[in-house]
Amino acid sequence: MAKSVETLQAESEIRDVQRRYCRGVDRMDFAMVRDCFHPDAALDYGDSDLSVDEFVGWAEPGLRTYSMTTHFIGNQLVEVSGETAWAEHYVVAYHRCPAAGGVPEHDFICNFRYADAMERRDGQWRIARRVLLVDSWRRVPLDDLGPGPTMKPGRRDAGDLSNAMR
Amino acid sequence: MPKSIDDLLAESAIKDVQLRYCRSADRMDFDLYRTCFHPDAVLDFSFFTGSVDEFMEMARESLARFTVTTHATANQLIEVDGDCAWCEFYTTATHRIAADGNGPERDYVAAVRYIDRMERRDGEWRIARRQCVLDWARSDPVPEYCDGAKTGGARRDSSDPSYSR
Repeated sequence: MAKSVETLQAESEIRDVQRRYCRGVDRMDFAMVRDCFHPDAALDYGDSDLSVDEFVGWAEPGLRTYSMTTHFIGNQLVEVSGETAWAEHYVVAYHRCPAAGGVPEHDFICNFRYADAMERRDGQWRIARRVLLVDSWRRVPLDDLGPGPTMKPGRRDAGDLSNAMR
Repeated sequence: MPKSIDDLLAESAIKDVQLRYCRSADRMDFDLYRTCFHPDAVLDFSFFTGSVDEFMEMARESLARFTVTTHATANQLIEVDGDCAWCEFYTTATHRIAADGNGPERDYVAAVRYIDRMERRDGEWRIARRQCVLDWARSDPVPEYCDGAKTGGARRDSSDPSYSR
């Protein structure tokens, strides 16, 4: 069956939720992260279902152990069914790990999939249930092969230049 | 507020600008490059700040230093507000560098974000102001089994197969 315009709108809004989630995590903007979830959402990141508060309480100190993260979104498969939807987002997540405990600075690179039950409530699509699936990961050492061009560094807080452009 | 059809159309046009920008860089297509910008656009890459003309000059010179580039855009977050939009485009820019005094043949991979103010003028969305922010970079030597010649005819100019329509 051909997609309706309403389906396109829903898909676009659902994909935006994942884009905001990644921006929220990468800029450590936890208000933006929280806004991706319904208040009663259940998040399974490996062990058991976490509430949104529990998830943020776990993710925030974890993210602080990295000097930078980048969550690159690839495939975004969305199946809308009225006020609910299923979504699967592929993400390649780069985590720059500072030298620690004798291990030199390196990149921790993960192939993630986020499988979501989305719900539209009061006109807003948000995540009602999320499972993080880790397909593969590797730690890759950094080769010191000379510097690249100097560019403005990104920041992981509200001081990031992206906020100055609004 | 739910998105309108106009929002969807604007986002689609804006995303195309970024895809054309990447294609322009990777195919060194400077005519296409120019179509991404309003004439009075300002580009700020930190190591470079300037007008569209100055940017073209810089890009011509710096792109020539690499044997291949690939600007792969992933996340495209867009907030449309009338005839303006704020955009953030995640991009991995892979630059292949030939062996030189600084090291062996290698890939310089930069994770950048383009932060744009897009404007719609005369119905056309283009970049009015662009900032480029570097989140991280890495350099990896190119293994011997990667033979640049066996790439299916990919070129950095208009003889690339993608130009035959």
